[in-house]
Amino acid sequence: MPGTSVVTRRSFTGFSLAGPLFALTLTACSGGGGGEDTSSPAIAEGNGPGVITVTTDPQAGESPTSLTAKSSFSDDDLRHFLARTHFGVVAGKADEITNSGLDAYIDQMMTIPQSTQAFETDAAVLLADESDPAGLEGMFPSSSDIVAWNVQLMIDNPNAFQEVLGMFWQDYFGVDAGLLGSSERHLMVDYINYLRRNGVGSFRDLFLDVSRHGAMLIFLNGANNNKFAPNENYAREFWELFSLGVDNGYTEADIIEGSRAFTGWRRSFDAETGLTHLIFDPETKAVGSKFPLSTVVGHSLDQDDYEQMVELTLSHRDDAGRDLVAEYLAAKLLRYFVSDNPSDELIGALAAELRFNDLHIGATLKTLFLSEAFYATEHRETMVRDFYEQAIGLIRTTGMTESHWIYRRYLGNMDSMPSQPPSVEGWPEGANKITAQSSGVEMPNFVNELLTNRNNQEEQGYDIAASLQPADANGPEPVVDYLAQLLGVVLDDTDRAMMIDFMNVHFGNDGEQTPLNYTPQNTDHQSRKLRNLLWIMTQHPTFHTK
Amino acid sequence: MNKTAAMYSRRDFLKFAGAGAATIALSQIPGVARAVADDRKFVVMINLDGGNDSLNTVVPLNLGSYHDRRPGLGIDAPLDLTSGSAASNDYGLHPGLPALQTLHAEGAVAIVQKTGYPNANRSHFTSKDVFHTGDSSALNADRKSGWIARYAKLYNDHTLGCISIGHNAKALQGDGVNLLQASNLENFTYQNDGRYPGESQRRQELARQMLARYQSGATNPLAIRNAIQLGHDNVDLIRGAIDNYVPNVDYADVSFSRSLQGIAQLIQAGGLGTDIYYTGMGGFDTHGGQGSTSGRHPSLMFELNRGIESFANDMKLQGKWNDCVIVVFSEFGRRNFENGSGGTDHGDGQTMMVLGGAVNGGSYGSMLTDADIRDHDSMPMEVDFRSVFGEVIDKHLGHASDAIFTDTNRLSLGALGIL
Repeated sequence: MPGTSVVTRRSFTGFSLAGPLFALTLTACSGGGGGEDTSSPAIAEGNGPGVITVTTDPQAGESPTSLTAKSSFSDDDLRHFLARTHFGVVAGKADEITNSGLDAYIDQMMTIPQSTQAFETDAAVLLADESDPAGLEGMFPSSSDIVAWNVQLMIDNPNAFQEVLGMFWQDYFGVDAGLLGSSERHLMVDYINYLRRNGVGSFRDLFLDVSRHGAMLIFLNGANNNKFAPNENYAREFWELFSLGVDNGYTEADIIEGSRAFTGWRRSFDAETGLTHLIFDPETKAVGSKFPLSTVVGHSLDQDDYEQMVELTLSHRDDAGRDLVAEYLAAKLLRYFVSDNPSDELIGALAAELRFNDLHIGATLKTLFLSEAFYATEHRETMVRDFYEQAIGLIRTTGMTESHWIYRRYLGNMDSMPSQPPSVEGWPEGANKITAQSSGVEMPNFVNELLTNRNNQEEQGYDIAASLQPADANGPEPVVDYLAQLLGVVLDDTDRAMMIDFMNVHFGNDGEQTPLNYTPQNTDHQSRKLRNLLWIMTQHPTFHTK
Repeated sequence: MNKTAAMYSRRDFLKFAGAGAATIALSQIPGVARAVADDRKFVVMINLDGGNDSLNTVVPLNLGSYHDRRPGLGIDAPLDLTSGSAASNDYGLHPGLPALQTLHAEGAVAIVQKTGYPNANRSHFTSKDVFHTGDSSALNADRKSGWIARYAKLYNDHTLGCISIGHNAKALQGDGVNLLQASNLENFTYQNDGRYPGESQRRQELARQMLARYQSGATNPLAIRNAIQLGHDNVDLIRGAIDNYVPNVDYADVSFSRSLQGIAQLIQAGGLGTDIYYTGMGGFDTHGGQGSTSGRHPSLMFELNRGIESFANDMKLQGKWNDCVIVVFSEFGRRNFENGSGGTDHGDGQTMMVLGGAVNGGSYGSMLTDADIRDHDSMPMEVDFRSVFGEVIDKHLGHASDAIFTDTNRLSLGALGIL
């Protein structure tokens, strides 16, 4: 293409990485061609299960619609995998994947402990307040506390995928903690934890448990929905957003019947603890049979109708026999992990995979993450990263931190706070993410907050050189390349040269320029130049994509 | 009915500045900041996000069915609209909207009943997509451009041709045109690394150069580049407008009012070439605990009123009220009857309001009747919202709206006469 810059992913070859990004010290040229790429030849490490084979180029002929397992994975593939499933690259993670093999690594990351982990205990401190009654510490968080707690989990969890998938479900089954009362917000903490811990499980279980969860019952008015005057809110979203898709296989009459079926739950305030819970109260349940989706739900006061509603929905097919729920769920998973506009063929394939796995999410995602489609060239570097994804990724990648007040301020300005989706539809998808978070100044100013928090970070023992530079770097070139790799930024030769020049000049406050000769070991240079290089990199459009 | 700017300005100055200066020309009054002199016209779109309850915003009078169907939510004493040239004995306003009552008495409020689109959809997201794209078949709006983006492409492809503040909108997206969307203007500046300001200046220059050179064959990265670059290209212009702004009135320190103040700041600086401003408020999805005169919906009415009051007064004092048209809309109205949760569920038709010095105040669309409320579960739709938006584009901005709203499914009416 005339005028198009040559894109080169640079090699780490020749660097001794401090906390190596990729144990296989190779890179892949991502298709730009023609650049002065200096990558080493490919090293094939075997073809057995779980063994990564490193190549210098993406596999030719990968099908963007095939769920067939890819035969080998290059370091570019691993970067892509981490960008889509881990908030981005973290030094040492690829090493871990290489050692275990991608297949085994995915099994490991899909194994979510149900018991409380140490980092979760630490984060839970953010939910507590001095005024909490003894024995109920952390049960009365403010909505800001919940944001802080959720952000801390995303920063600290060694298994970033758990939090990435947790956010998928927060997006899918959106509940806004800001609309819950003070006695109810403990339900939101439980809800987020439920989604984080069970996100790899059965969609059947998720769908039912979420429907009955107190946070959802309150947010979508199930707690107010009773036989005297049913409230349609949950019935509508149950199909529109959570299972079938808008106007897809249900009618307004179904919503009315569904809202009758979803009666029976109400709030119960415990005066002793000051906490609200949800209870099933047959007295509030609509009397008589219901007829949602042309199915009779018989009357019973012994139990609610939620399980029947879930089952009849999961077995619902349209007139042509299409599996509507599997297709809807597949499309949502693909729009989150693979492509803004997945092809019908790929949606169909993943829907079939979901059914094959009895709607088990973990098994289905494993197939996806090993598939040719996931790594297909046309699916790379095209998706827009959410603002929270950029922010959390930056914190995890660089190790730079700020206060929760700063996190909330910027995430809030961008409508990108975990636990507070902008609507029940969740966060914007695809190109709709390119809104205020792109044309505004929030992201660059957030980066500025991180990079200027020098004193606090250094007091806490932060070592910027170990985090952002190769250990044996002897000039600005390897530093620029290393940081670009960490941040997933694709530099062409001109960008790269410009940044190297920036590193080698001292720009004074009165406009004077003095040669500097950036020395990676010089802490003044690190503070002045390396931190500001980070800002420039994050203004590159490829930082905003994955 | 058109009025002169001076007429408004004098009255408003007396009312809000409190000076005994009725005989002094406004421009002679120290401390009143007028906009840079021009007659550039502009539109402010205010989106009441979530589905506003129209029946409790513009309240029908003398209809027994209204109170029958809303025994808990019905408003007993709406604000009177019987004053002025657009006097109405048929409607009142929510008690939280006294500023709109005043504007109505001035003949500056058009109430358009029963607006919507054919085959109304009660999904928030589908209905929003229809309103954002102007296309009633917009089931997959990601593949359709926003109507404001189309407007900008056809009539004002200036980088600041259309701006949203504090409220993102699909209406501004698509067709390769990504117009400025800012969460707020108060902080619209690039913060420096305080220890090394010289490095900050240089890093910003490098970012601009890098963005200017960036090319991509893929749509999203290119759109991101455009969006980031908009910030860099316009930050000085916007910063200048904000820094030089001289407030004429107080704005409440809440998001909606601050967004309107941001628009007023840009207008005072000359408008920066902008035709359409976009903002809004969330929280209108009042399925439960809606309230009639206190509660969620009344609070929203209060905030709407505060914001519009400040903005309208500011425009009058700036001498821009006649050049300004404000359109207040939602993605749908709500049901005629209250539900069991003290709220209302999603409906179809809605009441839109168009405000401004050049607006012909009054009621448009057919009158609401007892049958409309008693025999329907939701307000019927008779006026296509594109007739309202279109008239604003045709008559106020002076461009042909037919090129923007090409949906063959829209209801075509003659001009409503709002402008």
